[in-house]
Amino acid sequence: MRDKNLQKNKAQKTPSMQRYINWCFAVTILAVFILGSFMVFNQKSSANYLENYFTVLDNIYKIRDLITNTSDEANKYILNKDSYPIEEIRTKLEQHKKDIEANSANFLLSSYFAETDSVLNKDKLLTEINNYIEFLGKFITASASSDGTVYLERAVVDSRSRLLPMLSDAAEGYTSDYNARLNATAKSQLIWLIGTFILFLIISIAILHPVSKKIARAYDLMVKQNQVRAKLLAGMNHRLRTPIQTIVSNTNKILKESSDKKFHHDAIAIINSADIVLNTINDIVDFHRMETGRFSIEQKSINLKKIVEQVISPLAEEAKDKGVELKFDILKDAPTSILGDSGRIVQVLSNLVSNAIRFTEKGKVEIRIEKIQGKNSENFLKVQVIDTGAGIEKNKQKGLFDWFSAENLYDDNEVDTGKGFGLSIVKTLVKEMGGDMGLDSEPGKGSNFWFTLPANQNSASGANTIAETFAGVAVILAEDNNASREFSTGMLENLGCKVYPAENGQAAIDQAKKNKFSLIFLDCQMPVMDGYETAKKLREMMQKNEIASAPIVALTAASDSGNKEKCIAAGMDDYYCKTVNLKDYQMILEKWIKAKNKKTA
Amino acid sequence: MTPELSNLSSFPAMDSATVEQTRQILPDRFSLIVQFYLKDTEQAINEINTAVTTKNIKAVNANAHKIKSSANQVGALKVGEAAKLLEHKAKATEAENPDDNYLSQIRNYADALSSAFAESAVLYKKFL
Repeated sequence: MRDKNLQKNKAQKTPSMQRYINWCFAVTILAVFILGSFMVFNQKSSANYLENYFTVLDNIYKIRDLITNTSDEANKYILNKDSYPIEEIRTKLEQHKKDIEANSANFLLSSYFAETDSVLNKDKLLTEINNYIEFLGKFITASASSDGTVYLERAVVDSRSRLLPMLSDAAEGYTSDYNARLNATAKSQLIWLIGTFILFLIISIAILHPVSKKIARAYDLMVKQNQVRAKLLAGMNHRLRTPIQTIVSNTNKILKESSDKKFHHDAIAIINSADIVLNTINDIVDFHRMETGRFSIEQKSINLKKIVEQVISPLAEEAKDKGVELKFDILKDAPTSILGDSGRIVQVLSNLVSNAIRFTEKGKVEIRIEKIQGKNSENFLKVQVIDTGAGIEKNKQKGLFDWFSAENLYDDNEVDTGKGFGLSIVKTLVKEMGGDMGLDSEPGKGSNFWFTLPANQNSASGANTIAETFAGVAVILAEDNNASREFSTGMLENLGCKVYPAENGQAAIDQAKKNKFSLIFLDCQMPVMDGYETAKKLREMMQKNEIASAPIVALTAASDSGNKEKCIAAGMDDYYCKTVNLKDYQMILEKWIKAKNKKTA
Repeated sequence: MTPELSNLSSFPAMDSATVEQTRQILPDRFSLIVQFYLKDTEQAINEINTAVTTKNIKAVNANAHKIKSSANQVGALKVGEAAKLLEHKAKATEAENPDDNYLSQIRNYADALSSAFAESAVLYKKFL
């Protein structure tokens, strides 16, 4: 517990890669936000300038037009004083003075005006406008006198000689300034943009470089860990499986030879525990293969009934001992055979059925197979394993098939739900085979674990058909030589047979007493009981109907003359010299199984 | 050295065709088969050596027979042939009452078998 807490604290203090990346992104976003704000501010300032430019220019032109028009009118009055009524010109000039004052006021109020001092020569311009207005005022006040006309003449002359050129210069200078500022704004915007991009690039590199280093280091570490794990698993597979098989085999041997009931109980516990360890090893090896994609799915024609029998046969005794009825039902519309991987399907179904038996205290476990249609009307096979066990609560069903859910990997209450690492494996297998897997369960009523598989069929010939022909055919293989027994078991299983290996003649007889077999292979030289004696005893038992009748075939490495006759005399039907290869086994099966119309166990 | 033992060199320590065919048919089992072959053959050779020392020719014969079977099965043809020669020699009439000369010949055959196995073991261990 203390260690766990220490590990937890350490994990909390260590910044994770995710947290580091989050921080990096936050800094990047902040930097881009600041730069973006500068750009927006810059653009806003340019927009204000544009707006002011048109207002100021409009004012300048208005004042210029007013002065030009009024100056013309005043000149007319000066030249034709006698015919031009003075009241008329006074009224016009009063209005003109007001307009000039108003526009000047606008001009002066313009916020941009203050900034354009150098271009507009603001002070001089204002002085000139004020003088002009003053002269007009003086004329209006003293219009009847000759002094009044002098003021008007000065206003006209001054406006034409200084004020109007000054206003034109101002408009021109202001426009030049506008163009210059526009270019400067465009340049500054471009510089901001490039600057922002470079800054973004620098920050990104500064952030991503260490991140990429961390990722590269993490990846290297992961690859190394996977290599170590692969070696470890490969070693574990070989180094654990063999001694455990030896434990099982020797315990079985001792179990047969001992009559002590207490010992029987303990021995069975040893065998059951060893089975659990073997299954766990299989799960781990399968998990590794799936993780690394190093497993393949076969597509061979398989017989569904044989598959179910293959699953039920080793579990029947356990179910019987618990008082649980084990039954299966293949509905009429279901195909008799499909294309698939028999080994994988057996693995999936065995997992579900053994779990169902394990967690059902009374009642039954039923395997139901039916044909269903997929979304696009394609045919699927639905296999259901229905039990009358305790059922699984809704909250425990979640994540039941997940690989990496904490509940699945570290659940201490596995016994409560019947789940385990195996369910994740079998679901992955089903998915790889093109199907799906699920669960319907209600606490107190039981569970229905189901899976679907594509119900593809073909008229395959050759090896597939052979495997189907001999699928589930039960044979005894008596062979004391470990390598030869493993070899022959593999060959016969490859042809679809269900092989019951025996290490000597006595073990073969014991097997024959338990089940019906279609064929019995006997090695001639074996310890405990050799092949000749075994054949004699088997024949006697067959004649007395103590065991089912079956052909006996000798497989021997002895090539002495007269050995064949010795075998036949002992009651054997056929005789083959080792080594016997796949084709030989196929030929023997065709000869003795087909001829006897497939007597299956 | 007898002509029979001299002829052993014409047999391959590992028949690649047999190995490849078996690996193809039994990809998951081949490693275990080789493991059994190496372990059981080594044990049988030890028993043969003990049997030669104790003049137990029957045990020599039984163990040679055992080796012959599994060696040929995995394609270790030189070992299979050496085991066959030893088995035949151990079945000879001299086995009833072995003299020193006969025991010396048996020892030669057993040594040839040991050498053949050592040669094949190097090649097969890579499948473990």
